[in-house]
Amino acid sequence: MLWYKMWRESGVRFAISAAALLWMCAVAVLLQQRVRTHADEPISYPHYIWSAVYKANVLDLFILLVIVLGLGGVLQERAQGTAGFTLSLPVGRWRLTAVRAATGCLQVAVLALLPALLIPLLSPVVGETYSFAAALQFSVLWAGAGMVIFAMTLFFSVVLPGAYSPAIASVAGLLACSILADLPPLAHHPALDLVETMHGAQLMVSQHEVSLAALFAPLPWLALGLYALVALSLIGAAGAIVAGRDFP
Amino acid sequence: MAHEPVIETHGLTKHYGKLEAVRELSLTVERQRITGFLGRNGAGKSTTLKMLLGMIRPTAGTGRVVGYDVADPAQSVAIRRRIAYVGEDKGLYGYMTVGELIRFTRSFYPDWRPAIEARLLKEYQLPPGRKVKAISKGMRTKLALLLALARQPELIVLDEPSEGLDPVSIEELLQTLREVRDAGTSVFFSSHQLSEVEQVAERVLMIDRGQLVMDTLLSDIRKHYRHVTMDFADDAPPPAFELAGVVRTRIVGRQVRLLVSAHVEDIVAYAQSLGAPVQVAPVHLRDVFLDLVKEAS
Repeated sequence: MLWYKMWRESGVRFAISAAALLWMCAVAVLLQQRVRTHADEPISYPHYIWSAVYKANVLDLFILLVIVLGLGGVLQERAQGTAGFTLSLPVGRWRLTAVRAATGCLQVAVLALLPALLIPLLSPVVGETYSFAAALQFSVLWAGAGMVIFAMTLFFSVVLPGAYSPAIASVAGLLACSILADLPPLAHHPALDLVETMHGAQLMVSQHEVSLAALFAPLPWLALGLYALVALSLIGAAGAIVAGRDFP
Repeated sequence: MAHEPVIETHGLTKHYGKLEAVRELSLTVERQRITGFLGRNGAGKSTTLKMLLGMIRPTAGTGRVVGYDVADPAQSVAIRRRIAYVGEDKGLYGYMTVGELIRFTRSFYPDWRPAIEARLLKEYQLPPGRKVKAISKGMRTKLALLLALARQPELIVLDEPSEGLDPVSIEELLQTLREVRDAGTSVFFSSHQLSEVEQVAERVLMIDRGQLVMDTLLSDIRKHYRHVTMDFADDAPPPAFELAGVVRTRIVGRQVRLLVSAHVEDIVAYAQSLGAPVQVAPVHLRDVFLDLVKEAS
């Protein structure tokens, strides 16, 4: 039932996030003709989807929604006055953090999958097609990098008091990653730039050749592995802080 | 039957930086009794209770609740499985309905008693379909009590349970505590409302500035505690009363007022031998509390 609590706490945020993401994807697909007609130079439908969804507005919204999903936790419960009840349950603090992190990661993964479900389904309505496999590749990138963003916000939520400071710190953290990744010594490690990785520019090259069989080949697995490690480390650090903290 | 301890602490201490919230607190709470934990606001009551529940780690000292070590995270889970806690703010999940919160809490306790749940739900007239955030503070207290009592814990710990309740609800709460004790559950509750403690508690622990200043049976206060007041007429300074049984001596001008816990007759005889008129009066918990706390101030 701890899962139920975590779900109830984040369920409304998740539902609103999912609705907002689906709405933005639908708008991007349905307005494709108008936008492409007014483009400076002709662009293909897959390229349009990439630039409208995976590179720009919808990605920005996704990042924002993931940060919102990462907010909460026992420290935030203190402000609402429910921390005493939660901590009096016969549950270890590590488990509290683990279930919250697992629920959040699952929600991030589902959010990341939504464009892959909607865009291929909606594209025929506007007389276009979009490969589910191609969309799924971007979803994998979004889920992998999204979990780092979620874990970062979760970490800041157990370190920083206040409702908004963890969100501000997460945005600052993402900006710091992008700035660091641009520095000459780190320029050869594009994986450091989470947002750049989520753009998935390298996937655009093979857009038409993508098939389910070749789905996993072009993905940056090293970067994704690194993200998984970073996310786990941040969740672990958050768990250790919660486990050792006093809740007066 | 001897009352074995359900809570024991030895030298329990909590520092917040330079502030000593609790100082070398050694206390015992006996099984199947109602024990009141008295003290002013900020005396260290809530910090002590939260240390017992594992929400705050002690800086020093040891504590055991139902036989488990409070400082060990794994044993702390075992403590929380066997006892119930009703916090000061009664902070329950406002986004759940009463029914959902009951089902949620029930899932953590295999020994949950559906019959008690049903009885209390009816008795407290709690609306299962209403959101917790939409019910009154009195109702929230009752809901918190239902969640605590429906599993017949060995011990129920309540932090300022009557805070924010109207007089009728307070009376109902005190009656509930008596019934709980009669059913075999030990009750340990903190309060700064002396009248409530006096109504239901059998044993009283008093804490001031993080230190235990009194640990006694309420019946002992009624039976043995007395105020002995003497008025000295001459100008000589009143004598010291360092006698067995004298808890506190207060001297105001020519008047000496003793708080006596035993040997009243011997002390009165000694006072009379000094030639001063002596008055002996029974004391209430309020008098003892004010004496001890004012002294410390």
